[in-house]
Amino acid sequence: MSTAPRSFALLAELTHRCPLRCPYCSNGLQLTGKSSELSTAEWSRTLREAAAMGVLHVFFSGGEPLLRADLGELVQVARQAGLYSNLITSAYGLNRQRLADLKKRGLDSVQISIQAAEAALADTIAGTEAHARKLAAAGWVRELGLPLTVNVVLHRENLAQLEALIALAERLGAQRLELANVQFYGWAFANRQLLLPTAEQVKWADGVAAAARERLKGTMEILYVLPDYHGDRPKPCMQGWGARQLTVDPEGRVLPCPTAGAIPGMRFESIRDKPLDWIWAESEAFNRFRGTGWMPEPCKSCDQRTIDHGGCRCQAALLTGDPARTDPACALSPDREVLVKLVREAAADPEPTESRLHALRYRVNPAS
Amino acid sequence: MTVAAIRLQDRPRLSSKARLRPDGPSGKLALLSPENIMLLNATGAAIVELCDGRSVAEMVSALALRFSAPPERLQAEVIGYLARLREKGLLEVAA
Repeated sequence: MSTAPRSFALLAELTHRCPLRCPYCSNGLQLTGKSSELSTAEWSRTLREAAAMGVLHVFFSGGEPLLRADLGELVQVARQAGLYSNLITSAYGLNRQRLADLKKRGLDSVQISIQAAEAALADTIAGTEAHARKLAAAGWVRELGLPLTVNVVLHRENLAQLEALIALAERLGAQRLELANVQFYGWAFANRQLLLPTAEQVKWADGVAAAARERLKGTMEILYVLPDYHGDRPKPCMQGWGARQLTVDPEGRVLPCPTAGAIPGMRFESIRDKPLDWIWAESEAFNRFRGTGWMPEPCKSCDQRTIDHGGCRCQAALLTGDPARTDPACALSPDREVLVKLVREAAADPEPTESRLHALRYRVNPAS
Repeated sequence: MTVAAIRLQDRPRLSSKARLRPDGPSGKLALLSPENIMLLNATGAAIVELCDGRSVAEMVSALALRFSAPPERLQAEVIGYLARLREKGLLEVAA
């Protein structure tokens, strides 16, 4: 009999294809091509299996989920299975008619990413002209009566526009604004030197976000994701490995989080081979970092171990080469110096934004 | 910003982003919204099920009848619960 906790949310990465090339993307450098993607039937089965095991939320994401012609069909399957469906999109390629169709099929909520407060910088970061289309799409979301979340990944090159970004989200009529300080995985990790903010920037942004949250209480909810390279304690990543949510990637691998696929030496099962509930409850990968039994010191004897779960396994793997070590985002980590050095080096970079932007390494997308 | 207190004549409804459904594993009602799940206890469920456009006063009367409790005792609890739902953006309150 399994003692696995219940999973409440499924992140469905329908595709890695994307019209944007954001250098802060957390997708891995190795992206899946269209020919390896799950079929409509395979995704439909995955959604039904997720609902049957107690999942309540599905997040259709990617890449850009709009690039899947069967998105509407999958939204409909999700609704029939009782799932609350969220579309996580760049909004590039969205039109009013398609959005109305998605709503008719049962879409519950839309989250649109914004790269900066004004088009010039936003389009530079996106690597394509996208900003104006996003603003139009946000308008359709509101017109059709769908709840709108605006998501902004904050980093060194757009942080100075934070106040204008909050004002933009208000103007767009967002009910929810996610201000997510960039987390360093995948393409973002490759660009960390250019994206890491300075300690002064972070301190200023924390204050701006806190004041806005207070001011907008009851109107627009603000979620502020802390920049963990600048903290003393690690984030409680995913509320624990295999604890509350799961990800299915474009080729069907089932992951405890969107970035775990990049951890060296781990093998993740595919929904092409095994039932979803078995993978969640019984597979070796999902059980490897569940609970506290796997922890090394200083986590093992730490009074925070059931609160922060030892931080992030992907980050430990990226920074130390070993996913089973304490996350260096914790000041108590024996590997802390690795992270401190990255922050110091980035802070010492004197280049102004314009010349730094030229050095960004843009995401390279798989062919459509 | 100070949000106005909820009054007896207000008519609360679940907001467009909120969806109510039974939850099999817990046997409770789940109130779903983007990034949020509330599994409602019996009192919470009774209150939320009455957020259909009737007034708070009417909700209190209905609950008093259902739970055989004096309305004046229920009133503060109902208003407090509604205020918390509104703060989470789950409730629209029309006067």
